[in-house]
Amino acid sequence: MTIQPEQLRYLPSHEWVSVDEKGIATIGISAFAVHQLTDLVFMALPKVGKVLEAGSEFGEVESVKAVSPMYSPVSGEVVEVNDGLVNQLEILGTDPYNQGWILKVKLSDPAELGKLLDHAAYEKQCAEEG
Amino acid sequence: MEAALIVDPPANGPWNMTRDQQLAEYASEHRIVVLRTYRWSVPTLSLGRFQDRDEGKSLARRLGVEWVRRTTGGGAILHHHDWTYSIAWPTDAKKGPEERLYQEVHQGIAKWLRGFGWIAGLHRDAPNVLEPGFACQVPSVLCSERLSADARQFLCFERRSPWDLVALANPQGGLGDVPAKVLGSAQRRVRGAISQHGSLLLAQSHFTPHLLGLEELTRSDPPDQGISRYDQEGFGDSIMGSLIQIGVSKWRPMTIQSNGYQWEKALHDFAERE
Repeated sequence: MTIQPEQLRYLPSHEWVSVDEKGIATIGISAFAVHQLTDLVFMALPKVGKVLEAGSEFGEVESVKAVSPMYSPVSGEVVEVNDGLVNQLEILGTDPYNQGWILKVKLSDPAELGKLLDHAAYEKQCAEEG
Repeated sequence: MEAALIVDPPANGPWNMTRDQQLAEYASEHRIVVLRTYRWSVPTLSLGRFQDRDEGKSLARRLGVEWVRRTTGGGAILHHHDWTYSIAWPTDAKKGPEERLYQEVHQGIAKWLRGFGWIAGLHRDAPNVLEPGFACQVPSVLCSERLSADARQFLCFERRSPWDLVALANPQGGLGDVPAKVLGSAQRRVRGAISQHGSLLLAQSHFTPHLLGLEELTRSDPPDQGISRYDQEGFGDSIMGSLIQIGVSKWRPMTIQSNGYQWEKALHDFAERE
């Protein structure tokens, strides 16, 4: 199933999350973030099995001249990592919401989703950031 | 926004990196800009955040210097005859570089250098656009046999980005009409702040003799007074002047103590981190 940005929830720090019917949360970074990052050169990702808390740092992305942390929108255990992405970071520039997913987490507290921004609120924030 | 200026005495790599991390967290918590200038007490190779650890250690061993991991990205820097600055700037949410912080700081330092009568500016505006690795083509007598081409590519000052600060060699100095990189910077976002590091190459180091510093590039006959290796205050003032251009309303020298900071753990992390 193709993920549409309008269906997603977001952190103000530009990570998105989509949750399926089995409670698996797919996490990535938004097209706006990819544009802000400019040319990507490296991404450091967590190992499967790592337990994340909502708002905690799960990895880092290096673009030309800047290293930026990536934060988890939800709590849970990492069950899958998109290892292939590390060698094909250009995918984030073309398809950040599908092929460019970063990791999957077994959601431990679905109520956390209610604390995230919906698409309209996130779009408003992006417009303010320019 | 207010700013604090901190001039620390020379220290080793892990201490310097821990101090910058502490100040970034301070800036985030207190919503104040912190500018720090410093030197290194021993020659040290600082590795970019994701540079290969073994390659970095091997290069440091061959050169006979200490090494440390930076939190910022980019290439390795041999800190010997340089001034280093770090800026911690409170900011939220965004990812990626703060281009204006790069540009204003580099332009401010370039303006300060031009005040000595030298030619300095951003690489993107340089009259001759040169490829990385050019430095070794300039004074062949100074080329190091100690470093392979791969090892040189590992170094920040062998790379170029549009915002790098370059200075033009004085033709009277016999080095030709070639702009060389004398300052590069890199950024890292932390929660609630962005941290920017940069190093100004004052003079050639015998560890990396193919990289020329301001002292060699601006040599004249008769020798001018030029920049003093000990005028770190002027360096800090030039950067603070840039920060005023982008939102600092007032600033003062300040002492930020390390009380309460997890100093020991952070020192260990910087000395050993992957």
